[in-house]
Amino acid sequence: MLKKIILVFVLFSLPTMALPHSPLKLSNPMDGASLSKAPIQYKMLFKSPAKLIKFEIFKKGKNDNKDTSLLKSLFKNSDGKVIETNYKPSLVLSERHLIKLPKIDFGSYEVRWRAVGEDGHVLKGILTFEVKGK
Amino acid sequence: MEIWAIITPLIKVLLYILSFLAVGTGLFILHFRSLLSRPTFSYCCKLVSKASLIGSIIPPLLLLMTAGNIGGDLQSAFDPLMISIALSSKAGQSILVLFLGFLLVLLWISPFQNQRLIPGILGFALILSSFSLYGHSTINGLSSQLLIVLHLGAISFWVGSFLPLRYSTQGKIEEENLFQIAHQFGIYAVYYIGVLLITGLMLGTILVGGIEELVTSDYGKAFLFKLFFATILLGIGALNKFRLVPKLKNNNLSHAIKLRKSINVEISILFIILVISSLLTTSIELPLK
Repeated sequence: MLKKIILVFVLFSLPTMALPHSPLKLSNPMDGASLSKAPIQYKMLFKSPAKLIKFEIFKKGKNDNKDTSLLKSLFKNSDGKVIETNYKPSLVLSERHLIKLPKIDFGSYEVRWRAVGEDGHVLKGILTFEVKGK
Repeated sequence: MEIWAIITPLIKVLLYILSFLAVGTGLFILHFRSLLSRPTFSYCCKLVSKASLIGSIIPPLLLLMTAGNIGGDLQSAFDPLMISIALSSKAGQSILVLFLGFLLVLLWISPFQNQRLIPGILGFALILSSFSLYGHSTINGLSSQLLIVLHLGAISFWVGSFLPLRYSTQGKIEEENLFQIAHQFGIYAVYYIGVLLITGLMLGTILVGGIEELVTSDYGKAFLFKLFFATILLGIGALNKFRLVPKLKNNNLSHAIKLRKSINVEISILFIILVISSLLTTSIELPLK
């Protein structure tokens, strides 16, 4: 009986394991921003110093990420088209990170980033913005 | 959901179990060496030996996992750059300390060393302190790190004693010594649990921040959940100490069986506590931001 209770407990615990840390104080473009002009850089301001290890931009299609299964989500980042940024991992702890962006067109974009915080925890997040034009 | 969100807490639970067995059963040997029968002593040594052997295999895997988690994909686990970032991070340093700790305990328990105390004690200290080198425990500097080490040390003794005590209740392995061992364990447990409670509450106050955060934040709720199970565990422990253990004096096998069943329940509850603890340190955000 106890073994069953433990099993049920562990299974019910699993979905809560994805609770995110939200270590960003600010980003520019802001999350969800709708822009008239394509940004030339991306600014990230953390609540406490962090090493920004990964910064990826994906251009999203209409049907991207619509029917992502749990199994797929475990191994795949994003369905969008990768925009080459040539970002090199920052090995310096800093609250402020500035990333130069290549020329981008109109469309919806998803930024996926990963960092290591001062305390050694992995920090990560997904931000979106849209370039709509005037 | 990422693969790391599942693997990391599970590995953490495994590491807790191995660490508590290596350190806790090691402490049990140090406290009860003179009372233990040869089979129980040998069982304890095997337990510490196996825990520290598996424990010393886990850290290299943990390093690859940390590299993978930093990079966010499976390839990153084998990417030299991500591995070097992982190694230079506090998590990496903690993994190295943990690895060294398990090796020292293995050295201490190996029959060739004839139970020299220094590698054992140093190994225990390194294993316990590895948990204080990164993550939430660093939030208040040295004071919270010291509290974590004491807290885990106290848990280790308690947890690491479960299996040896359970083993001693089988058949007539300990004869009349079972009462002595269980009684003496109850006396030590008062001190260890005192340390456990005081450090736990102090850490809770530091990490959760206040009463409001305790009930409103995810971290606070999980902390309360853990406290709930810990209270049940303490209650069972107290019942054993005051009701079951005195009856062992009569050398009655049925009481030994009751004690074994009770320890089984304690181990199950403990497992739940370890899962919550693992989530608290890997996946749930601290309310203090």
